[in-house]
Amino acid sequence: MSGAAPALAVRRLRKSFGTVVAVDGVSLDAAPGEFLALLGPSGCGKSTLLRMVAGLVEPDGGEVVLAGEDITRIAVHQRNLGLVFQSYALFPHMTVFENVAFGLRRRSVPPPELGPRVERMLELVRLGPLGARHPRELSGGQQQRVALARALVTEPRVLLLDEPLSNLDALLREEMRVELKRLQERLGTTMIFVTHDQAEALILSDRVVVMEAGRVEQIGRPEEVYRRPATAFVARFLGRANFLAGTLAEIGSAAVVALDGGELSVVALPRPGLERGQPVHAVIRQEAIRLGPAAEAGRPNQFAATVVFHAFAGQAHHYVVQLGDGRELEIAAPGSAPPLARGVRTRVEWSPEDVILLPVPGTPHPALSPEGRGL
Amino acid sequence: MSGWRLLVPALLLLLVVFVAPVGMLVPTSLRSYVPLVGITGGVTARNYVRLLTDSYYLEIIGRTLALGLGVTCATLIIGYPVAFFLARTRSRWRNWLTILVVFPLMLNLVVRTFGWIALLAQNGLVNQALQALGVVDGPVKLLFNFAGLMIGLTHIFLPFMVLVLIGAIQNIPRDVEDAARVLGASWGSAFLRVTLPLSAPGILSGSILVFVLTISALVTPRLLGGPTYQVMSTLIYDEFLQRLNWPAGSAQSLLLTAMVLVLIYLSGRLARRTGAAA
Repeated sequence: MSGAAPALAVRRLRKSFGTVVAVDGVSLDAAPGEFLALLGPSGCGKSTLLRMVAGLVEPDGGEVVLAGEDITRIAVHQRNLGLVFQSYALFPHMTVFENVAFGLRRRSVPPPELGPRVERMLELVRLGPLGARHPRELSGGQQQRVALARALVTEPRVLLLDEPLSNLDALLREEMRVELKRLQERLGTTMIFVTHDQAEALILSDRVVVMEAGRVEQIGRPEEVYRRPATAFVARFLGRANFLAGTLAEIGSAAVVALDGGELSVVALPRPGLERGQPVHAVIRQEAIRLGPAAEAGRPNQFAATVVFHAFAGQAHHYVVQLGDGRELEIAAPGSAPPLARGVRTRVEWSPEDVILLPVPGTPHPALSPEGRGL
Repeated sequence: MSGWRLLVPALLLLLVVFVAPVGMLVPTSLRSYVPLVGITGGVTARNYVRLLTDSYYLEIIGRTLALGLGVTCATLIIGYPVAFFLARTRSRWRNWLTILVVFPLMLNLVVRTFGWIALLAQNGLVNQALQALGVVDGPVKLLFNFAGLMIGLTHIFLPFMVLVLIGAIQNIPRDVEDAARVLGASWGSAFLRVTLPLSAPGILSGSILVFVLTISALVTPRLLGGPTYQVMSTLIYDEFLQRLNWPAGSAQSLLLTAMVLVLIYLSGRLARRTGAAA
């Protein structure tokens, strides 16, 4: 990161539980006003990382730096951070108003100022008239908004969110995503958001931190991690993709991958750090593959294919097609296109810039060095 | 509606072993007893009047209630930290520690009480230790008085309090306490404003349990209080079996039962009030 000092920086943070390493030397920065998503499967250490930042879990090593100040050894209640829990963790014995006022009362905000601040925050999350209710009288979405208001009313330097939307049903979740994003843009609060939902991470965040097994796999803007994943894990975790194993046969103005089996080859854009003869995966996203007769013959990556499976999923048609050498590809075609029946012989095509070249694990690759991880 | 039928066996049992015997005490309590003659006919409120005006009986009633309150407070103060630790620890010793808490319940009550007599006697272990340490000059009277009963009953009923509290504290989500801490509450403040109020249902039910058990305990007060230091249960026992004054004993039994029922009614109302807030 360059420019302004980071609102929050984490340096080589480590935590083990017994013999299990939960967080293994993670470093990252969040710029002021940035919306950062920590994305990964359950058990990848993202929640532990967040709880270490909050001060609820004591790290084994490393530092947490808040706006230039080392807070690693500062007690939880003196950090002035906000935290929204997956379970909301509202105080069941207090009204909505008292829940939101809790943080202000701990800071001895005088009553004439406290009332209006709580009311304003409740207005902001559209809970204005519900202040006298108790949490159990509210719906899941309303409870979620109380949790947000409670965390934001103290104007925390950074707001941490631990899977805040995963307890909501699908429809409400999408609604809350939009609301959360607009709230963040309006208040300009730095937010760090933990999720296992890749769509949520891509939609909400300015940058995505993809984590696996306690380590950072890649940090980048949503388009970056989606289009140029640094590792096979990132490519697999963010959206569905076809992995075609082969060997780099040629690298120059274009890269050519001879697929294992010897019959087909795939053309890709060259990528620095790869060498001729190196085993690679050519990764092609489902939606990057165009299905149907070629618009213009003679372009690279055109193959004859037979439809072996078709299912309609609303916004997309899902296909599995078989290429000439017997390998199968998964394809997501726009839902508005007329469907192709099973058994139909057709063609598939994708452009070289949609091919992601990844070295087969175990072979050297620039993405595995610290610079490549975007640290 | 069919759900109510599930209650029938329990209701029948309650009718046979509680409502009927207590009901049978009512007519007896309104008779009078003449020594050497026995129970005479005629209806009188004498037994009740004496029970509620005679200073001897009033002192015993007051002592019983004070003992109930004292033992409840003592088990609560000693038991809460233990229960909190057991509910929250991730130690592998946890199950063993819980067994240790419950262990006294597995020993015979009379054996345990005689143990306390040996400890609390004039030249017992406690007094010897106190004098050896120079805390007191002469032996302290710990038997056949309030202190002795407090110590013995607190020890016996502590496991009940701890077990009820463990359940209540385990029901409080850790996230809720963590949320209070992140919002700026120190450990003590988070405990007072969040953990303690949320464990109120457990505190209430544990307290009622210990209070009721204490004011109706018989064996321990008899052994640790001796023949002269009376509480209501020992008084009733003597009235029925020593003095054979069944009418007075019945009146005392009904008063003790009424006290318990009033307490349960009041605590039920309190639970609904706090339950509405919690």
